[in-house]
Amino acid sequence: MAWTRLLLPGVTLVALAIGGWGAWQAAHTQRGSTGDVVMLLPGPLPRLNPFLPATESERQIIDLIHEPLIRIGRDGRLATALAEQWQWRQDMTCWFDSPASAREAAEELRGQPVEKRASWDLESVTTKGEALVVRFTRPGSAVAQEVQEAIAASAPQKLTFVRIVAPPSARPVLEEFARHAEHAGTTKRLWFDDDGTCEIGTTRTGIQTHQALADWFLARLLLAPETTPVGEVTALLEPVLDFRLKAARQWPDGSAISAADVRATLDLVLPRPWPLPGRDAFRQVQSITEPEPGLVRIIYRKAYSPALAAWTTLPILPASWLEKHQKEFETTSPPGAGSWQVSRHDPTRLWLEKHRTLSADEVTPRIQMLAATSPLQVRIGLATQSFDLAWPSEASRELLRAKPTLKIMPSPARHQIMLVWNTTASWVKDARVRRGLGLALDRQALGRAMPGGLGRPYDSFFPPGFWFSTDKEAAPADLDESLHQLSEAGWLRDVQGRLRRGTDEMRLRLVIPDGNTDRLRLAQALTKQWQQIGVHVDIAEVTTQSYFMELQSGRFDAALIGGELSPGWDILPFWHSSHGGGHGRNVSQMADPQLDLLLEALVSEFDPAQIPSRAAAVEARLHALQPAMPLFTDLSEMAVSEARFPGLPDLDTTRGVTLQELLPALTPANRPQVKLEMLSPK
Amino acid sequence: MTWKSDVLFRITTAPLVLVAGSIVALACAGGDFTVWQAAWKTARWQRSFVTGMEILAALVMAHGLTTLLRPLSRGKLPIPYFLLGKVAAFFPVACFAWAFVSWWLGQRGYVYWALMPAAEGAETPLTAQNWPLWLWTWVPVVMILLVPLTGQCLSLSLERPSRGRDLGFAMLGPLALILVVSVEDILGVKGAGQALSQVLRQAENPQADAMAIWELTGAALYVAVSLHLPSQPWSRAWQIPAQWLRTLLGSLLKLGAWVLALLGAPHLMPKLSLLMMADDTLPFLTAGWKPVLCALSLWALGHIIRPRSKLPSLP
Repeated sequence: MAWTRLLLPGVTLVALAIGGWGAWQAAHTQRGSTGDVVMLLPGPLPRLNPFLPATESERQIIDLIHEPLIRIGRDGRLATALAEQWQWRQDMTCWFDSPASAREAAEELRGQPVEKRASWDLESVTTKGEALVVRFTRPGSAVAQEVQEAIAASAPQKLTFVRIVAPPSARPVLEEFARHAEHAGTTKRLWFDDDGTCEIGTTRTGIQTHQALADWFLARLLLAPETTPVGEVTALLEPVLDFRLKAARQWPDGSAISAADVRATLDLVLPRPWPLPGRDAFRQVQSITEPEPGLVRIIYRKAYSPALAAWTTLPILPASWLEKHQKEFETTSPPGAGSWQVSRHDPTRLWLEKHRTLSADEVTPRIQMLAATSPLQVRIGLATQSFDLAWPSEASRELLRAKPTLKIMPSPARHQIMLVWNTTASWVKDARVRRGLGLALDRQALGRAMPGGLGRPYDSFFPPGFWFSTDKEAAPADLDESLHQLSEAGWLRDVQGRLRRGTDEMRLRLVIPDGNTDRLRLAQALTKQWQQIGVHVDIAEVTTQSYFMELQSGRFDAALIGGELSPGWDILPFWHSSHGGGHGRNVSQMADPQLDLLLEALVSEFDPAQIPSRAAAVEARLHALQPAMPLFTDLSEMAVSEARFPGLPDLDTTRGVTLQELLPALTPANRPQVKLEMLSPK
Repeated sequence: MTWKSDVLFRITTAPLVLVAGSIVALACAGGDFTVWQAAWKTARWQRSFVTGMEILAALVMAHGLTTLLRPLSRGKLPIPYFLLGKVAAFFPVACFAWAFVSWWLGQRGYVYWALMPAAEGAETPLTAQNWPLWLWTWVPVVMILLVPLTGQCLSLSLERPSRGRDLGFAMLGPLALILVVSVEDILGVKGAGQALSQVLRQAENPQADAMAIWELTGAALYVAVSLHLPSQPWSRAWQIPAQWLRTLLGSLLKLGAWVLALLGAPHLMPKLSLLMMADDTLPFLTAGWKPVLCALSLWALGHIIRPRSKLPSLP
């Protein structure tokens, strides 16, 4: 029949007509009127593990959702976050044979002249049973000795520290020991390290403690622990850090933030092998308590001023959530106390919304994140102006840079890479040789060997952007001066251009971790530049597992070391002679007493105003000794639509910009209007 | 073939497709049954449905267009029509897709949701207001598939009825299944084809590979149960042709032409920069001439060697 012969062409024509209509409709529609800030991410959607960000974009998204106790402000100084106030104090605890003796000692101190007490910075004197707790308003043990002398008549007991080497499984046994009625009275402190090693502070003697522990262990584990008395004091000095929490900040469910949350967060993160900046500082935490609502008191084992800055990198999580969800922590994103929260997500998109309590009187758009965007999508997004913010991938970087309506903003530096010398190696043990080799390097050219060609030449051992940072500009390459320094050290170029001293030819063993193509590329670029002055370089790729063993044992001439920048002024673990694997030398095989003293003075400095001068002294000493050559800090970029962020021109980008700082630029900066009025006396 | 045998044949084909798909998925899973099973459980079957529907729509329309175009090819026109059909069939479908993207987005500056979902806004329920736009997500895929399928359909319809012609019609479904992989990938349509493209690009992940194969098998099932089925190859008794060597060579050359057109085209095309997208659409179209010429030459050679299916002539 005729109609059946027309059916197929008819259907086709109708389908074509519908398709054409759809095309016409689509062509006349522009971008949806949603006010979302659209952000393109080159990789997959972030998992939002607050302690394990995979990329800079994820780190900054986490920074919106989660909040630490304190932050680093735009000016590079410590600023408020969950805590509105913080203060260091110091507790000095002495134990006596009876509560009456402790009270007597307290009275002795209270009876001291007011001037003397004021000079001691004494805040309070209290007794807890047989213990006398003296609180100073400032940390530092300068006056502690005077106070101890004042109470010497009451005969405080000696406190012995005993180190116990036992497997991690022995921890419950030791904790039970400390709790047991027979030992609780004498056991004053119990500290554990990650490897299970324990230190006990007791009023018993070392021999008594060893005997008591041996009896306890043999009865339970059938083995005697290895104990070593490590010291004896009459007073225990413990720095105390108080954080006063902001009353307005709370968890998304409305519950208050407390010390329990801080404690639970540390308990979660410390045993895990996550790259936690300031981990060494957190290990020194003795206890976290809440003496009153809204006050978090952290007592440390020893005076260590960078411990404060470490709190800027630790997002605090709710203890109640952690208790219920610890097992699925790796797969579920925890709620945060930050200004933003995840409001919705699908397999390729994620939305963040500002807390209603924080944006009650302002209309804040949502942030829509589009993951796994290809360069094509970026191109399309540019053509259709359908995104406001993009994190470039290597493939899309040039595309974004070429667009004049986008502004490329740098992010703050997170990692540093440096060239460490082995100062005991025969070729480079002379500081002039190290200086000469350093002067031969053109860091601008080397920067092209960094991932994506992005690396900021940086010449300081301290992280950039802080109030104490020296932010030194990297010195330019100077081949003439380089050869001069080398010739001063006896190294001259032969007719073939090779660097020789007598019959020795300079051959450097440059150690890098294997499987790291970025490091290899940089090592090859270094090799190429050193070849210009006649230095032969053998690049040795060492397995990641044995890399640090290789460095500790000194089997290198030079090594490339990269790592996360410390959150404060703590560079002691790297350069102090006691931290190079227990051989009395630092990572560059150097043991310099003056450097050690300067580093110790720096980490014992609790006055923020004094940190810059202490840091400068350390920096100067390091530059004189040349144990290493700082090369670069990393650089991440984001492309920001200038039309969507009208406040962009007012943003200071010298230290790098984070999303946290960028989002207020969605509205033009409202400069405060100052109205000055002459007040005349009435 | 009666309607009963047709139904029986479709019912038999579907499990065979499923078995073939499951074997390939198991191979992708590295022979690990647990991974294979997990891939089955996590497969996004809606993607299979989407791809199946795209192919079916394209095939129906290809047949419809062929019916419309055939009367125009009467008289002295069959040869140009036949060649035009073959050129369209061999032309790299990726070139069509890129040309579309370049023209629609780069030249016209229009929005295409599938490629830039963020532009669509946060909430995307299918409402009376946005259904034309929702429809437009799928239309380009179907339209682009339509070009080679119509070309092949048209050239087949101009051949004399033969076993080879019937086989050609029967292979339209698998042809569409291969073509849809790159089209969905380029246009960002979330179908089984795009899933397969993604796993091919990514590092080895047995579960993802097996999952993509399951999803494509799902799409193949839709195609298998709904397609035009050949009657000739199966109804006649199979016998060795008299000139079997020439037949074999001819068939191999024709097969080579298809392999070249479908798989080898990217190697014969110049590198196209995405930066060109906004500037000009033409380079994306002209990039396909080399593979088309090579495939056509191979096909013609095969046809010369195996001259029995005389062409072109109308019944």
